[in-house]
Amino acid sequence: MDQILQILAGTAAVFQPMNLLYLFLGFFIGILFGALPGLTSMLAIVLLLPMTYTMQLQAALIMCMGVYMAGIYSGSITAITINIPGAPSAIMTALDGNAMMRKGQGAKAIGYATIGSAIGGTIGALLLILVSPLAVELALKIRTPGKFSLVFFALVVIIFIESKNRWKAVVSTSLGLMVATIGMDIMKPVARYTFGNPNLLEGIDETTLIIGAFALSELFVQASVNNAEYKRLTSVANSVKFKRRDFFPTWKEHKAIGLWAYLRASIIGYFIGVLPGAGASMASFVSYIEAKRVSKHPEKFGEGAPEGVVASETSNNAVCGGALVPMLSLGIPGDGTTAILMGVLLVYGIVPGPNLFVEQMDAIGPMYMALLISAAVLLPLSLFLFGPYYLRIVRINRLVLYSAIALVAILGTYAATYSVFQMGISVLIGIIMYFLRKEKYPNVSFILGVILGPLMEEYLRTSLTLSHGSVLVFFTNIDSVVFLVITVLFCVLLPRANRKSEKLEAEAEEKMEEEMTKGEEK
Amino acid sequence: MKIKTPYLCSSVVTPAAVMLMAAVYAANGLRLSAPIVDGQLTETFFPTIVALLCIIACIALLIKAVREIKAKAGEAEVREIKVPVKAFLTMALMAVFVLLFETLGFVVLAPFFVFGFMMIYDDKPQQIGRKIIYSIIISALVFVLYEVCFDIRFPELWG
Repeated sequence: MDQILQILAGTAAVFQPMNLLYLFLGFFIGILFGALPGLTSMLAIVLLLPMTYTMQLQAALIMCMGVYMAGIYSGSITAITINIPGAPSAIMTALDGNAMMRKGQGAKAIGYATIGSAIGGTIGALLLILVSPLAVELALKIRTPGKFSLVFFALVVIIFIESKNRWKAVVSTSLGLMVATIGMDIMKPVARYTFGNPNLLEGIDETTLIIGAFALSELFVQASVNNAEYKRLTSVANSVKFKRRDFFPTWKEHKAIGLWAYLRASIIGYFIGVLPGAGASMASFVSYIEAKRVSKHPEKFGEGAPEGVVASETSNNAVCGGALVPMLSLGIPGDGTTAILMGVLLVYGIVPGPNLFVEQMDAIGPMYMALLISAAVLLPLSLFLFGPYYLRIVRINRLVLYSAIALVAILGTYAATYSVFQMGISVLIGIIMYFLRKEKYPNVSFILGVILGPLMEEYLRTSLTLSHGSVLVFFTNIDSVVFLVITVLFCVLLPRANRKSEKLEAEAEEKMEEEMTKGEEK
Repeated sequence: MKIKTPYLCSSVVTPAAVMLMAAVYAANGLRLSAPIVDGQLTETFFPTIVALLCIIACIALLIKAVREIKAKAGEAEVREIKVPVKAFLTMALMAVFVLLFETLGFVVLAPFFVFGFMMIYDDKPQQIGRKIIYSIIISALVFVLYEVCFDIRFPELWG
C-alpha cells in the first residue's frame, strides 16, 4: 500500500511545468512516429536515448512514457484512413477500421480507436500501479537459481513467440547473447572476445547496439522504398477531412459494443504485455480473435465491425502497462520498447529489479503516473483538439524526415559514447541487422539477448559455483522449479496460440493487399 | 544480376555467414581457456554454449533452406538477384561519415551527409537546390538540438 501511495505522489512531479512539457513533447513525438508508416514509437525512443544522457532521469522517463503510449495509439490513424498501419500493432485495426473508412465512417473508426486506446492504456497503467508492488515482493523472494530459470524462461518465450521463424529467433537471440559477452568478464578481470582491440575492452555500449539494430537497419530498409509510390499511397490522406463531431459514436453505438469489450481487451493486452517478447502486435491479434469468437455477429468482422477496432486498439495500448511490470520488477523487458527503456535506466547506472522501488521511487513513481496521464489525455487531445490534424502528418516530406532521422541516429551513438569507434560498430550492427531482417530474423530477440545475456551468465555461474558445479541446484530450489515448469507449459501452449493468430494475420495481410490492388486498379 | 547457382541465395548465405561468425567466436573463446577447469566454470563456458546453440540453429536453417531449394529444383535454372543498390549506398554513406567524422567534424560533414542521404532516398536526382537548402537547415537544427539543448560537443575541423 505504501508503494502505491508513493507512486500516486509522483503525480505532483509530473505536473511540474518542465516535466509536463516533456510529457507533451513525448506525446507528440510518439504521435508523429506512430502515424508515419515505417517509423515506430520504439524508433522514437531509440533516437531520444542518447539525448536523455543530459536530462534528469525523471524527465527522461516521463517523456519516454508519452512517446510509448501515443506511438502505439497513432499507428491506427493511417491504418484506418489509408490502410497502411503506421505501426505493426495496428494491422488488425486496419482490417475493420479501413472497411469503416470505405463506408464513410472513418472519423468514427478513429473515435473508437481513440476511446479504446485511452481505456486500454488507462487500465494497463492502473494495473501496473496495483500489480508492481506485488511483483516486487515476489521478486525479492527469488534466489539466484530461480533468477536464472526466470531469465531462461524469458528467452525461451522470446523464441517460442516467433512461431514462424523459431530457429531464426534462436540465431538472433544467441547473436545478442554473444555480443553481450564482448569486453571484460563479469566475474573475473579477463578480457573476452576483444580480438586484440583495446576499444572493445569496455564492451559494446547498449546505445550503440540499439541504434544500430533498430534505427540504422530501418534506414537501410527504407532506402529501398520507392518515393513516388510512397507519395501515391499516402496521397489518399490529403483528400480526407474530418470534423470533430464525427469522431464520437452515439450512445446507442457505445451500448452495442459494451463496456465488457473494452475491459476484456484491456486484460488480454495487459497480460500479453507481461510476457517477454510478446508485444502489442500479438496482443491485438489475440484480442481480435477473442472478440470475434464471442461476438454475436462474427461475420461482420473484417467488413467494418467497430468491435474489431475496439478489440485491437484497446489491447495494444494496455500492453504498455503490462510490459513495464517484468522490466521494472524483475529486470526482464516485456517488449522491444521496454528493452530500450531499460537502456535509459542503465544509462543512469540504475539496474531494474526489486531494489528499484526502494532506491529510485522518486523517478519511478512519476514514470507510472506519466503513463497513466498520457493514456488519459489521449481522448481530449486527440478527439477535441488535434485529431483532425493528425492526418497531415503523412504529408511531411519523407526525404527531409528520414535524412534528419539518419543524422540524429548516427550522431546519437557519438553523443552517448564520445567514440567514433562505437559509431562504426553501430553502422556495422545496422548492416548485419539489415541482412538478418531481410531474411526475417527478429531484431527484438537480438536486443533482448543483449540485455538478458549478462544477467543469465551471472546467475548461471553464481548458481553453479555455489552448488559446486551441480545442475541439480535448478531442480531443488522451489522458485527455480516453478519457472522451469512454466517454461515447459509455455513451450506446449504458445505454438497452439500462435497457430490461431498466424492464420488471422495471414488473412489480414491478404485482405490489405487485395484492397491495395483494388485501389491501384481504380 | 543473373546467377545460375541455386544455393547462392540469402536463405543459405545468411545462416552460413552467421555460423562462420559463431565458429570464429567459439574458437576465440576456447583459445582463451577451456569452458570447465577443475570442475569450475570459466569465463568461456557460457559463450561456448551460446555459440554452439547458434551453430545448431544455423545448421537447422541451412538444412531447411537446402531442402526448399531442392524441392524447387527444375522450376527455374537461372534466377535474377535484385541488388539493393540504395541500401548499399546508404551503408557506404554512413561508413564514409564515420571515417571522416573526426577529421572533418560536424559542421563540414553533416550538410554533405544529409544531402547525400536525400539524393539516395529520392527516385532520381532532382530539385538539387531545394535539397541543398534542406541539408543546411537540417544540419543547423540537429546542431542546435545536440550542442545547444543537450550540451554535447562534436569534433570540428578547427579543433
